Amino acid sequence: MSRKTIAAQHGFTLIELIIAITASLIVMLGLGLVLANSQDSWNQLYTRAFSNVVGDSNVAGIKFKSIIRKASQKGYVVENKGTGIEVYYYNNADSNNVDRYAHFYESDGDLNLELGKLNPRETLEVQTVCTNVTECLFTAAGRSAQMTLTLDNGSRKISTVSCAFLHNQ
Amino acid sequence: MYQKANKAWYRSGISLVETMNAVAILSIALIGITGYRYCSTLDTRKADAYIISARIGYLLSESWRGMQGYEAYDPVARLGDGMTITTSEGPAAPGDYTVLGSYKIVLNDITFYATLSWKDINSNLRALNTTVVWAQRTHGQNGLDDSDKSFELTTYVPI
Repeated sequence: MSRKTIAAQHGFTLIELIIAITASLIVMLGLGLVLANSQDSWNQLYTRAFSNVVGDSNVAGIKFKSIIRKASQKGYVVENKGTGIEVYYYNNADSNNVDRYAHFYESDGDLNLELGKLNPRETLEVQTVCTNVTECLFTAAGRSAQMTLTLDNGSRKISTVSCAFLHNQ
Repeated sequence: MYQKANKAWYRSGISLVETMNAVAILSIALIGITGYRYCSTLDTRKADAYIISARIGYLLSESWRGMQGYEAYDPVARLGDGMTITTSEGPAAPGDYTVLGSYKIVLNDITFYATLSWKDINSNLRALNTTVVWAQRTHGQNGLDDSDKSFELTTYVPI
């Protein structure tokens, strides 16, 4: 009994300790590399999914579609080199004539939306739809309009395309 | 007697086997976490590619629809200024549709292949089909043969 107690109390030998530390180091080194790689991928994922430019590009696309869809197919103006587009729409169901305009344009890295009255022309509101715009191109043909937008906040660059059909007469 | 033995057990420290067991358990837990993160990253990439493909399909479809389903519609000429789109080989169109053209589109470093096709349902209505494919497994710049996912959209236009 006393031998057992002595044997149990002697703890690690030096060899055991070295083997354990070596084995642990190898495992930890391998895991460390895997975890570092995993962390890097995770950061990229987080930036890809939750960066502000991702949300902004979605909002810009939704805004563009909602405005274009209610626009009249009677006419639109695409500015030189596609830096802006202006469409016209009815203010409400009681309007007999097209009496409102909406103007998308890029200025100093911001995508802006100007809303106003026609005849006489009067600006009612200017909204900044999104920031960090590096490229913005508007095109239109027939009864549809397109927007190609590239946003870059330094850590994430995203390009998005939006298209909408001018539904109203 | 029991108390003495118990005390001795506590004083003996941790054995090599116990240490290795602890390391093994921790390793399994860390590998599990890593696997979870890897799957999350992969799923996000897949979702991202799917969203972009839907947007491209929608863009091509609505642009063509805006031109009343014009039989000589050229998306390269119409959309080439804002995005990377070239004439290329593309996925097969539905059986009885007439192919308008196939295109290669690169957006956010992912390559997509699209085919536009049309069919007259009757003398007043035309169906416009857009099929977009991409390589989900390999990502990046891939050939058409690597494509394993597709997105198909059909819209109708009066003629």
